[in-house]
Amino acid sequence: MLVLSPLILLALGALAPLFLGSRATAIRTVALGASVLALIASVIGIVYAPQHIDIPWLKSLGLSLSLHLDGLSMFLVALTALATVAVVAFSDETKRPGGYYSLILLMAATAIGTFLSTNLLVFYVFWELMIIPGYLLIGTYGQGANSRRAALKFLIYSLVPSAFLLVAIVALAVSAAPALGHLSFSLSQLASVRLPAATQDWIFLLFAASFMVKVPIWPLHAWMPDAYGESRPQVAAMLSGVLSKTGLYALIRFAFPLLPDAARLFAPALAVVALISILYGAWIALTHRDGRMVIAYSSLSHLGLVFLGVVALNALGLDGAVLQMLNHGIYAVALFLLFGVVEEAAGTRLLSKLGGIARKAALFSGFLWIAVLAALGLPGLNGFAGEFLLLLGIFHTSEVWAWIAIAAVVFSAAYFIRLFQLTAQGPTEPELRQPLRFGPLRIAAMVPFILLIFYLGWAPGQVTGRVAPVAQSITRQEASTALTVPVSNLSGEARGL
Amino acid sequence: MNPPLIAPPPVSLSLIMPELVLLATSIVILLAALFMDAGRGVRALTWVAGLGIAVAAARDVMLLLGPHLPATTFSGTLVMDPLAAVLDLVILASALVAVVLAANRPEASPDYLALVLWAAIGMMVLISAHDLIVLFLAVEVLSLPLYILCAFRPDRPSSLEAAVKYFLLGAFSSGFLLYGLALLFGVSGGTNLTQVASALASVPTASLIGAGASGTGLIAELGIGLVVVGLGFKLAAVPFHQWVPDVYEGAPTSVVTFMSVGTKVAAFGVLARLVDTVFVTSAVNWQGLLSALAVATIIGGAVLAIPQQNFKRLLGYSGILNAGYLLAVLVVGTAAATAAGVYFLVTYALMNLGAFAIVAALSGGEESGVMLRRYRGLFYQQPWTAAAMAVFLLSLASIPPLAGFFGKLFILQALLAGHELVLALAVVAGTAITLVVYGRPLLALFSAPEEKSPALPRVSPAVAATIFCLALATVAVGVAPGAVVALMHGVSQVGPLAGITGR
Repeated sequence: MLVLSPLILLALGALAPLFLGSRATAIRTVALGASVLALIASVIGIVYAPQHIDIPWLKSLGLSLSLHLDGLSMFLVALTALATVAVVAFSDETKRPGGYYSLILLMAATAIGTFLSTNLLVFYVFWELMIIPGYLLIGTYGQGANSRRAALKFLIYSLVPSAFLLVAIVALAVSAAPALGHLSFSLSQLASVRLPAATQDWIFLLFAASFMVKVPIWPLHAWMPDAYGESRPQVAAMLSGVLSKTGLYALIRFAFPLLPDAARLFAPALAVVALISILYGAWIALTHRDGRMVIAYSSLSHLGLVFLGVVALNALGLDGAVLQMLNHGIYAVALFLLFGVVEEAAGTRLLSKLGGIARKAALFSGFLWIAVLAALGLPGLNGFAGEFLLLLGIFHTSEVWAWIAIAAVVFSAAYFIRLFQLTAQGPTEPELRQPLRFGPLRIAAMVPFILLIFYLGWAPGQVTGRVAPVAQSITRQEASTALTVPVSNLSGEARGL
Repeated sequence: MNPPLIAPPPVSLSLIMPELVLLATSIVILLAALFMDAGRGVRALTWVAGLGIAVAAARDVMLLLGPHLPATTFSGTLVMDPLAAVLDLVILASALVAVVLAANRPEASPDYLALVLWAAIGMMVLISAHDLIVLFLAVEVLSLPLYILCAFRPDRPSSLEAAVKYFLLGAFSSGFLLYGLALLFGVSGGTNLTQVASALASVPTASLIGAGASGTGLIAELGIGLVVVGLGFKLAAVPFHQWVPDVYEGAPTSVVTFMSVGTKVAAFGVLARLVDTVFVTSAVNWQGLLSALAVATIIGGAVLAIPQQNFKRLLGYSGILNAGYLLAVLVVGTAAATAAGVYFLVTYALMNLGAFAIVAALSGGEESGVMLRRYRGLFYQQPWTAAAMAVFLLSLASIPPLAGFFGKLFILQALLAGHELVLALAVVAGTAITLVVYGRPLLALFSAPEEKSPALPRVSPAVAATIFCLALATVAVGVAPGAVVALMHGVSQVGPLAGITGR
């Protein structure tokens, strides 16, 4: 029950507007309450993990509601709940509050569902459901003039690959059925069957395409600028902070253990794509005039690095990837929300028209500064620990990849400092004469992020120590032992970071 | 002594009791209408019609749960098996929704009620038909009332236009069907499907067209082809679909609700029976024919649905698309595949009836009420209605865990298990496209409402209850598909539904 509770709390909160009509304050309070409770439940979950539930759903299909809370999923569940609290606290929708808050909570609930599922079909249920709130939030609560187009693009990019993902899932189960003796979608049962290489290959490609769109990874990122640009900063924070992690997570949880041979075959190709993402994202972030787009493309670059760590296919890389997913979630949500406050006051996102916030809102720019420093990977803050571990893992697989990937670290310092300089320093621009709306609730919602940035910077072992056993079991499952032995030594050292 | 020239056929009225109940109800309605005043009378008669349908459905369920199925009667011209019993229930449900929807609308009248019941009888007989002549008669019995029903809003030219269009094209398709049936009779010398099947099985298996083709083979091929064309029209398969959008747009919404589900169910039922008995024994390449139709129907329906601005036309094209899925699953030809088709039809009926019921309730009889833009901001005027509509649309888009998802999943499973990879990909491509189609009305529901447009009418309690039940069923069948599968399992130890349980 503990496994399900964050999901159920958020879903119940999402139903509340049906009964509350259009009373904005009440709806928002309920949404905030539900997400805070979900956060508490997910923190309790971290303490008592691993937890597992298995409710039979449809026996003839081998379908059961299997949800599993372990080192891989628990931090991402907590991140989702935390991000939801902050997003709700930073929102003040008054015209059509019912739809807005229920869609935000639904998005969070379905994302948590994808993190918890260990049955492929259950995972698919949440994966598909997750798209709908995103589509509606971008399309009907958008900011820009083209929000409908952006929503349609998001929908097409998400749903077309996931329609084929369903074929891949069913084909996987049908091809494994003779070996198992029955049809099953359960991860643990399917992982025990080694499919012929040719079957693995096309199924893996459909899996990977679907998951990479969600991250996004170049060249499947074309929906990202529209979706992040046309939606509200709060929605962009959810998309980048939480939803992007589902793709990376699914790759680790499903694609590699189920299709190990194909993963090994395609890893170099995926690494090339990841490197392009890293460099391309960094280049655009360095030159973009729109502050929010700088953050968006920095995500493309940073998540490309995480993706590279994942396809490095060793325990250290996976360990680092999960840590960095958590870290990125923390600083990306903080950056999108804080920059959203600036946008709200200035009425523009163009960096050339911003400046001088530090002079008039010291606390706010202090928060922004810490988030920026975390994002650019300052040692001692959380971004550094993740990047370091990732690079170790990548280095272990290929030195060339690692050398190219280090560019990401160098570039991010450049574009994030530029972002901060142009927003906070210099003379106060006329657009920023109005007061920033950074009241007690928003401050309170941001404090946990700042604390986590410091805490995870000092004690990343709290996360990696819990992730490492799972990461090792995944790599051991799919790799030769020659690779895993030195890696397990290394991750022991890494734990003491 | 010579045996009597005409022996009375063995008849079991209990097997066709659902049809008889409907017939009796319709006669009672027409007679009672003579003695009642127009306004209040129709209300009472609506209740009578609903009661008749409920009794017929109860009898149908008893048959389904009883030990007698499958059974034949009327000298083997009618068959009652789990397939027929389950599909009959779907038809009765759609007739009930049509009756409820028509109350308080201009088309409500005793004639309307009787015609709906007659069409339902035709559909139910068609599914049970095991004889070429009965098959054709059933098609006519279901079609003629529908032609009249389409013209039931004589105050609107579009309604008359729809009726004329439907009648002309329907008459053509009946011609094709009749010709095909005649050719099958010519090949086999009998009208009973068993006879036809055994005769076709002995037709030479060599290439039927070209060098060495036998005349019989060619006739058999033509016969099957023409039958598929005739039934393809009823099923609204591309390229026999042109009537659908115009008829759906012009005809009264309550009638469209009924025919969009009932006709499809009947056509699928009879095609499944033909595949099961006649087609599989013949050497004719019926799989190729059905595959081509299925792919054309899926892609055509999906693509043509994209630009629609009128909710009824949009649902019309969505119906075409879903007919494509049904055709695809028929190609596999196994009992498991037919069962998947039946499951899909049950789910399709739920969500399609629900969506049409909302359109009918909100259009309030005026034509502009069915445009998509009128639905903008519905969530903020009528949150529950909008939530129900969202459920139906998401289910139509086969978003899990709603009813439509498992229908699609079973079809995919059947296709992949039957090694029909191309059809599986077509099904997925269709799904991918329609997500965009259903996404637009979904977005409208939650968008900011238009400034000038008048508020949509409120939904009457009876219709609201219907919509609520359908939405609840759509969610429940999706969340707990096991219950439906178990029900089918219990009633189909031998029937074509046994496959759905994975046996």
